[in-house]
Amino acid sequence: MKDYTSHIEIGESLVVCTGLVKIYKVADLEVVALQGLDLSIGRGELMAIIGNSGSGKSTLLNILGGLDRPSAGSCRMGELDLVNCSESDLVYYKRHIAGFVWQQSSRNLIPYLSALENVETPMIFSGLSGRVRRDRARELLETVGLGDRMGHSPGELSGGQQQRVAIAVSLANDPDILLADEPTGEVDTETAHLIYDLFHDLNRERGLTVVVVSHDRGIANQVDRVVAIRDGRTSTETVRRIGGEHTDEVSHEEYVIVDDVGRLQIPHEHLEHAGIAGRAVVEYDEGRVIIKSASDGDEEQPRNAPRRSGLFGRDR
Amino acid sequence: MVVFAAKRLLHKSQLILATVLGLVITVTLVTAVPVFSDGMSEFLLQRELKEPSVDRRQPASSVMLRHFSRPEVNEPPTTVEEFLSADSFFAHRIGQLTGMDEISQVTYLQTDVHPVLPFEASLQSGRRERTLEYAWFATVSEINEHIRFLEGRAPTSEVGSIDVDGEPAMLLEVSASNDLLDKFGYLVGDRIKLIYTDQDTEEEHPIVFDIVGRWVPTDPENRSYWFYSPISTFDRGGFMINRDVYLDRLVATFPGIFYEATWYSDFDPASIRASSYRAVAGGLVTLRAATNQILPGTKLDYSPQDVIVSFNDKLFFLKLLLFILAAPVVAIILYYVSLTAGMVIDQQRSEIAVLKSRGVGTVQIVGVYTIEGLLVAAIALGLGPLLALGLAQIIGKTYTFLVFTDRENLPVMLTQQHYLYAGGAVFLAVLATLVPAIGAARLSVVEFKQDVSRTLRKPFYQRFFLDVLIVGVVIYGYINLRERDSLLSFGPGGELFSDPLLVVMPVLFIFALALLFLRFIPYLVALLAAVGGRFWGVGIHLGLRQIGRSPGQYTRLVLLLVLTFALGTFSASMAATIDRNISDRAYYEVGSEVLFEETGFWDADNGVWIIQPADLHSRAVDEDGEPMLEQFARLWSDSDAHFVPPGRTQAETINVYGVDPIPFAKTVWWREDFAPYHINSMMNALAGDERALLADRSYFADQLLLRQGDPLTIRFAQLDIEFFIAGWIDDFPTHYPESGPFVVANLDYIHRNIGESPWNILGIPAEGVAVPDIAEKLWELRIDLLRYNVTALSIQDSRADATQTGTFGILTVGFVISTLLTLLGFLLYSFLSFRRRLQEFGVLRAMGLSVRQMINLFMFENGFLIGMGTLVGTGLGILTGNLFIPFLQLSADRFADTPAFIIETAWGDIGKIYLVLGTVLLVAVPVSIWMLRRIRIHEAMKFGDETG
Repeated sequence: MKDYTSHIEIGESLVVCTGLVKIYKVADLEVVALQGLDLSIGRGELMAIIGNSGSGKSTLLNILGGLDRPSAGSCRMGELDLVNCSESDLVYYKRHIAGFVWQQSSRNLIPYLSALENVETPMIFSGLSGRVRRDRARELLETVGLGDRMGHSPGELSGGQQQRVAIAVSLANDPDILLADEPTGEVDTETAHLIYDLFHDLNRERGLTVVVVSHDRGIANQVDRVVAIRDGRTSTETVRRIGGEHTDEVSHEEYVIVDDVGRLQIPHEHLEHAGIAGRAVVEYDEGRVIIKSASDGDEEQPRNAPRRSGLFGRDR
Repeated sequence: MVVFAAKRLLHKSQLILATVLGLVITVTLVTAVPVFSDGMSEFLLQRELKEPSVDRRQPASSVMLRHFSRPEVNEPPTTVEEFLSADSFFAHRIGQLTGMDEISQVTYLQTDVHPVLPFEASLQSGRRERTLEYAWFATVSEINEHIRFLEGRAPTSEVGSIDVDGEPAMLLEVSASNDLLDKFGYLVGDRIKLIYTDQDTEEEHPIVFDIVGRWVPTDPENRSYWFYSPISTFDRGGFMINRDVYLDRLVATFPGIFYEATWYSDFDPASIRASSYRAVAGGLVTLRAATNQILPGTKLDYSPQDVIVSFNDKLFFLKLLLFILAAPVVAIILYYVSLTAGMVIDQQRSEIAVLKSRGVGTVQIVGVYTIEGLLVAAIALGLGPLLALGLAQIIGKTYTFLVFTDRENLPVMLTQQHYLYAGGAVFLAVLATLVPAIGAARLSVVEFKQDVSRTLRKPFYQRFFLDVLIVGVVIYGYINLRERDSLLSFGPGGELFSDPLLVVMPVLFIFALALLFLRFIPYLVALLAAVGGRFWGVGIHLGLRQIGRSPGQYTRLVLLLVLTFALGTFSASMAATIDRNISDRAYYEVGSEVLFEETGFWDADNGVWIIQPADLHSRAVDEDGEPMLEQFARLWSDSDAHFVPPGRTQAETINVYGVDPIPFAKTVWWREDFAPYHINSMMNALAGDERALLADRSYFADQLLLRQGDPLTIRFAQLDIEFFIAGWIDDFPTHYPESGPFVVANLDYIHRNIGESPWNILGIPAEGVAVPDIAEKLWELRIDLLRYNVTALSIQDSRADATQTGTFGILTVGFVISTLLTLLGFLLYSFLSFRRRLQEFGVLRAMGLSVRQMINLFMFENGFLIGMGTLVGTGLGILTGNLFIPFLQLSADRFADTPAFIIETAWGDIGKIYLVLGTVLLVAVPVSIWMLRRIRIHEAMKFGDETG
């Protein structure tokens, strides 16, 4: 068996993506879904990736899940290079390193198999013996709290229960990282809480790295770190802090991500407030960087100068 | 993994059932063809082996070796030792050598024929009918078990000595058949003297014998023993003696008297099987080669080899023909199998995506499908060959297309080879199911999603213009076929087709045009939408949009429909045309329902024929006084009349047919295309002027450029008669163009000029009257009836022929199977497309479409596809039939193109398909309406998303 990840300790980077680019070609149209995205995920983290639809978050998750390959950039999962590895490495990766939970249960579960059989299926294909398989499947279903529903088929389970079975399935081959795409998208709030609690438990008890993708900013309350994606790049990062002045208070701090080459995304409202459009002036002032509207300093510059010529343009 | 695959199979039962059905049918059909042809050949072989031969007494399954001593005078005669060593081989080893089961073995020895005299003239006591002048001694093994002594006893091995003219001579005991003794007036106890002349020394040696027994054969018709007739052979002077006496005394004393030794073995015909006849043939070849070495001068006179060789040829052509006919059907079935497999896999693509996202490799998924395929294959292999046995019987009972008759069952059985065929079919079919599976398994989830949005891409054969290429090939083939005006006859006479190109071309043509047609569907739909979109309802509009937008989903189905209907229509039309031609040819040959060949009495003294007047036939009446012949007419012919074409001196031989116009017009079997005018108007023209005649257009008009009204002088024997051309005729029943040009004239006029000579009578029997009864009546009326020829019987014979039965059987079975499969495929498509598009339906309902409009949409879509597929398929089939069926006549047997094929479009059979199709639709409509009514919008939306 290959081993790409076991040497990585809790807290060390498990996933490192730099400059990820993904271009889709649909018919004759090119769509750039990821435009040089950087991301690092530590082992044992419980984090979320948020973004509006079309922001590229699903593409990122597909790449992290080994379902798709990036067009350029690098993405490493421990020792494994997801960009250049072989097809069989990718199968190994999907089977043993990453577990996946989708929003729709039809993409998680096979409808005619019972919950237990669904959990067993990935193990069948990785060649585990019948007894080991069965025991492990039972254990997993009990972990997700469905010990009494093992023989039920997905159709006989509620949406939340289906999602929990899906989590059990994704854990079948003991992955290092669990990727969940809108896992609570189709369930009510209460069930959603239940599912997040489950993620917490798994994260805490098993040291499982969990990455949740959502379009819901409220998710910040459920996870340790939220990375927001916009236009195929990471824009901000929010870290949850427990403690501070009042011990049980939860506070969020939002950070802007500055990439290796110094690019960052400034939240839209800040730009509007500052009246920055097109060109801007950047000044260094005692440990801070100030960005000002270019028109403040130089009235002669036409207001409608091309955006791209600015300091924050794409072609520097 | 096996358990997983089995679970999947169970879950997808309805869909898998369709695949299983396709596979079972494939295996059944593919196996049924060799099972049928083997069964048919077994049947034919047994019939030929068992049928008594016309020209020889010995059964076809017998082996007869004959040895004649000293074929040349200067060679030494065969010795007893030579005979005995050969005997030990020929009498015991033939069965072993050829692998046949011996019923009986006879060794026969006889001397040549020598002059005989009564020992003393006074000793002949019986009444003499004829004088016995020559006789021979013979000995047959085990004769005492096949004769009964009326008087006396069997000859013993005692040999005495008697004084003849002062010299000692041998005195033997003989027995003789009752017939011999009666014929020549000898009695038991009589003593006869035979004079044997040594050929070398020319010395005469008298041999004296006493008749000690009179016998009759107990089983004279047992041809396994009496290979020479015991009645007509031995009554000419054959006296039976003891074998020991023959060998140890007679031949020992006079070596030259050894004449004939025959070893005759009869074998069980059942031991020569179609499956093992090659071994028998091989054994016979070895035997033939060995005989002359074992005993020079020995020949294998009779053996089943001839039957086997001719059988082997027939078998080869039968199998070839059947496979050529079955090939398009198998192609359709395989296409159906891959189509359903494709539809099933389309349904399962999201599931494959789930598995793939869980780290299941492509190979593993293909593995699951392979295991599934093998499980299905096991069912097909288990069921198919058994069903094939039944199907082979059905093929064997085919009378004409889609018509069956009650015939003897064929001796069918399954052999290892049949399972090989079945295995091959299963292999192909599983491969056909695996190809779409492999395609789906290779895609990752993301690629799958992209693929869904890319359905507008053209299929590979359209991108590479393969369809256009095939059309080109077919056009080339068609031109090639048209240019072959010479008759090609590869196979032995009577074969329906011998040229595979003929059967391959039409099938290829259909495939090519069907593929080409697919190209035009989008334009056709667009046109329809443009023309009718504004006037028709929302349902139809949406239906057209759906079809125009996603051609990928239904093209395969339309292709299946078009192919099936085209091949079905073509096969049905071909069968109908051939069937009609079989009947037409029989009628053409006879001329009407029945032909009585009659003669008269030749009065040699006066040099005239004395013939009963033809009117006498009207006096053939049944018990109620009703005439037995509804119509009858004279038909006279002279194939050796002469005529000098204008401007030439050399006379040409022509055929002259003489008729009585009015009765002939009523009696003759006539087809519109035989002449440019109606039969009645032609006969009226003949009746109108006795000198009028109808002339062969291709010769008199086209070659000699004569015109209507031109005078014509024809010489019969020495007499010239004047005629004029009243009209043209192309074909005339009973006349074949191979026999030269012909004319038709008034018989009375000819006879008045040259005198009467015998004619034939064409007749149409009254309803329910059997021809043999009429013949009997004609004999009673003292009409000199030689023989008669009944059209219906010869049609029946043609239809019982193995090739014809096989052709119609395979065409029928293939047609039925492909029609059923297509309908099944269509139902499956409707069902699956319904499931796939639940979301769309849900959205439409949510947008406010009424159930009625939805039903319209659904019905229109399906109706449009079925209608288009059916119409185009039928049209294509008819077109193919009209283009290619005429060529099929090229390769038929002698007189192949007389009468010409009339291309039949089998509307009746096409109607049957439409009927089945209509029934299925009637069932499908309420089911779909019910399903549409049940859609709950929110569920449909969700479900649609999940299955998407």
